[in-house]
Amino acid sequence: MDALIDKIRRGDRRSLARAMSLADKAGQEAQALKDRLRRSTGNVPWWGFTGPPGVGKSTLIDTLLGMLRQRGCRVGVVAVDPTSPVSDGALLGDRVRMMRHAVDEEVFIRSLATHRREGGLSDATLHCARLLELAGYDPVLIETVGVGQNEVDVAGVTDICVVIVGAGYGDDIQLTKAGLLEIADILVVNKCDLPDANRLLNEVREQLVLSSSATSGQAVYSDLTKSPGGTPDRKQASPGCTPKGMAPEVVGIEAKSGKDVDHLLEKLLELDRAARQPQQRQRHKQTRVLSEIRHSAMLVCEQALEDRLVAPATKELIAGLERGELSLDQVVRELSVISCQLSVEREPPRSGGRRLRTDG
Amino acid sequence: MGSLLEERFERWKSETLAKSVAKMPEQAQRAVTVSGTPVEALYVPEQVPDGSARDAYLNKLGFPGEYPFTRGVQPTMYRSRLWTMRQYAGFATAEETNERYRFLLESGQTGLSVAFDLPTQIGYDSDHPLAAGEVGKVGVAVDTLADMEILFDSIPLDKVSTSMTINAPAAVLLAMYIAVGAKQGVPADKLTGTIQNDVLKEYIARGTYIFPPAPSLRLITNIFGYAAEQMPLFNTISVSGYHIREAGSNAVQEVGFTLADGVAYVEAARNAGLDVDRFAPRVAFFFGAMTDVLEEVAKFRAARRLWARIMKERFGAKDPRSCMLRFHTQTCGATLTAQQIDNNVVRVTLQALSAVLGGTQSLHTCSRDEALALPAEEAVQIALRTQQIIAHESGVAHTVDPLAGSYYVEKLTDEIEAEAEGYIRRIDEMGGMVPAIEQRYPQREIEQSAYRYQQEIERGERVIVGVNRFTAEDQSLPEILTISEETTRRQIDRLATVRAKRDATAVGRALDALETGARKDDNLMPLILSAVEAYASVGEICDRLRKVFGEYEE
Amino acid sequence: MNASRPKRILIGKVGLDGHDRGAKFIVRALRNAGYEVIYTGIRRTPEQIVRAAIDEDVDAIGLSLLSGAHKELLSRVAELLKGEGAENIVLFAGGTIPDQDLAYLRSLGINRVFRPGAALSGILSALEEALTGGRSTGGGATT
Repeated sequence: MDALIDKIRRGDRRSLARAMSLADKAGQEAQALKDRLRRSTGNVPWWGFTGPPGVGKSTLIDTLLGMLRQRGCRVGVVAVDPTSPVSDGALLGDRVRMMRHAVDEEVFIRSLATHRREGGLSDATLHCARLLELAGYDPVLIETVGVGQNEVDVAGVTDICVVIVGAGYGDDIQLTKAGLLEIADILVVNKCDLPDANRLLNEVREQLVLSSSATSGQAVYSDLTKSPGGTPDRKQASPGCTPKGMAPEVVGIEAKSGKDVDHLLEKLLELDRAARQPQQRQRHKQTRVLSEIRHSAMLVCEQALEDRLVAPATKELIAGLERGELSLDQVVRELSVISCQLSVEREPPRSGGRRLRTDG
Repeated sequence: MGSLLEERFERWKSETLAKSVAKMPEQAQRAVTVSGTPVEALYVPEQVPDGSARDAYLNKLGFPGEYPFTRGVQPTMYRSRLWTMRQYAGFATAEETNERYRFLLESGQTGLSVAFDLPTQIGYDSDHPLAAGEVGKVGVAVDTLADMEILFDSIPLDKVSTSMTINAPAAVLLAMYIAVGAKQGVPADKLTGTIQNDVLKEYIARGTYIFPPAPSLRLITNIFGYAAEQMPLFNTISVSGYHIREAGSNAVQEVGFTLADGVAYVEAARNAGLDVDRFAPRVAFFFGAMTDVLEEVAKFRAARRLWARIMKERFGAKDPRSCMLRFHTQTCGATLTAQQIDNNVVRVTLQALSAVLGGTQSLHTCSRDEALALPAEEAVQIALRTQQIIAHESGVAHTVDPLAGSYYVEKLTDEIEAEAEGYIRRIDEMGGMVPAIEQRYPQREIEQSAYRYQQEIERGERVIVGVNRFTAEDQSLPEILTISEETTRRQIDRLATVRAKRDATAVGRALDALETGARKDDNLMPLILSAVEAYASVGEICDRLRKVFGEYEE
Repeated sequence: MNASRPKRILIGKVGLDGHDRGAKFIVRALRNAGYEVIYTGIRRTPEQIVRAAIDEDVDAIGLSLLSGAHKELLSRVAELLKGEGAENIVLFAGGTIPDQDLAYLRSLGINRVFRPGAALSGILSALEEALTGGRSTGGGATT
């Protein structure tokens, strides 16, 4: 393991690429790698980019890559696309728009599939980002598609969350209602050369005013402590971070031509600087670890529950429910207790495991 | 016959037809069936009840050579002049291609169609690193005017019309063609032919783009403006559905996306201050022909009617020629199979027949070996003979729009028109074709159609003879054309020689002037013409423009 | 959960030709067959393709070429892979490739060449065989 880590640190691309594949698997070797990564990383801010398909995320990242390279940064990118629920396959097409950086030694782009699991950030994303940091890439950019739990989770582990919406899409406002507004540090309106861009910019600003007054002070996602200094924390007033109740900055750009992307980059770098404060680093390391724990624990619990549901003893519970002798609540409580016990039996106890189970 | 219809038919005969025949007499060859029955130029319904049915005929079909041109753009169609038989050709260097052109002209071909190699089409010289392996492969390599002079050596440009499949650097190759004409003593206003010059479909389907959409549209409108003054006989654009079809669209999408591209060009030219009737008569189209003969016939007719309506109703065109959709057709290369390649001759025959029944102005027939390589000479000859047999033996050229009035074909025509119009409306709602392309709307639609079509073949729901039914062990293949590595060397040597011999100061001056003009609002055609006359290369000219315009990335 | 993650395949178009209908069909078909497919788009250089393949740690590379430049471009890709010590990545090709070039492509280690009209089922089984370490039948082109 140490040899592999060394090679990655020395800039061996193949070792880095293979370690990423390893991190995408289960098993002891993978576990050892992940444990090792956890302790060796955490100092580089991650920039998350999310928004609906076709809105121009990859194009924006491509443009930013060019600008960051001009400033001498080595940049890592993790691009996540959804796994087909039918075939388990995936089409990872984000690279198409970043190919001009493909031969740049100082850029590393990795495409990942979400895998089937719903409701969780792909575990591999986290570890690929850590591997990029280990290999000296700074900052690390993470692109995720669509809306949903996955994106919210990504927002939770990234230091800066950029939500992108685009002019020319009729359903933008619906998308912003779907929870993306709450997670944004910067809201980018792309394709501002289109005629309806101004309307969209205004509507997004209005939505933001509404949603910030509606959710201020509420803990929307309890484990998602986030946001570096200077930006609002709309999820939770976590220790060491004072919510300022500010709405995220709205920036209009044209990703393809690069128009106003320099302005966006300035904003990002400002947030990036704040995110590098030791206090923020510590908080983000914790957030990521918490997210990992939650993710792993949920997998274990879920599997345990699945096992339990097909166990002979469960038949009685089911029959009891059918006969009306038990309420659904009782059955669920019974199963939950059993599965948590099971999970603890199966895996060495981890801190937070039980607590996590109860906040669901 | 309803009296109004009769009256209009008589008026068509005495006016439109008579004028046309006076200018372009019908062929001496008697138009009769094999049984000896004389064939009329045009057949119209014998019995049309008065009222709406008759009005529908007059509005939707009318008469050939008259708005809305559903039945054809000329009153007599092939009775006066057959379509132009124009085989797309080009390979290796200018010498080999010139030889092939002369062979084709001697074989009875009536127009030239230049295939350029990919480096030329993307604005790289033959010695550019990205040109490695590509020089002279899918077409002829042209770096400088010196190549163009050899390409058209002993081919009189005042007699032969030339179509050039060139898009992103169309202005450069057109300038070279003008310069070659001048050297032959043929002034620009006598040159006839077409440049493809359709960059939007490059973003949608074909991929040989260089610059982003806005400067590309500027180059196109610069050509429109220049040609309106200097070369009135030249078609300045060939809005192409062919590549959209080849990328896997269906017939409806082919019409919808192509005409939406056409709308974008007309709008760009209008925004550049050009009067519609000044350039629209020189806008031509290019479609594919698939094997579903009757759908294809309906497609061509629907496209004609829809374009006429767009030009009149949307753009207020007054000149009837602005409303005429004149088109070139190529049989669809993607339908050719590598298995049992002689079957391809039959496919091509059906496809070519559909184009003729649909009223094409010119036609390229693919060669049977094109699923494997560039066509060999023998295969090209069969392809040309296919057209000649349709023209001279089949009898379908005797009368105009022979399938009009078929319940099936008319219904299909109506449906394709309506659905294609739906696509155009959708694209309008997105803000036009450029934003639609940026949202990948046409690309996605085409990909879905292509996938569906291929799945039907995979599942055997769509029979492709020799591929998923009636298969056989492959026979030995005929000899195919290969391009030697020697070609690249010769081409690069010639480029080096030209560079050594030309007046470097003049080249530098011309390129500087071009760059300055590109930064301003100048029409770039005269500047490009000066550069090619100084023997600046395609790559050098495009590099200067890249510097100003930037490059398009998918 | 993902002890055996899906195999990863990079599909790309190398050279200047922009006809991507076949490549895109294969991308979708492979996705639907359970592969993770990385698509590079058109007009890529051999250097870009190989670098992407290394960074993405793919199991196979499929390249589509219709311009006739397959010999030059594929040999360059094979050479670069060798330079990276990545000959283990399965390289296959599709497009207008004549019989006479198959022997040369085989000498580069490209044993699977799919031409116009190749059945998807044949392509999928040939790939599966290659990726599960099965021996190629050595039959050359699958058409």
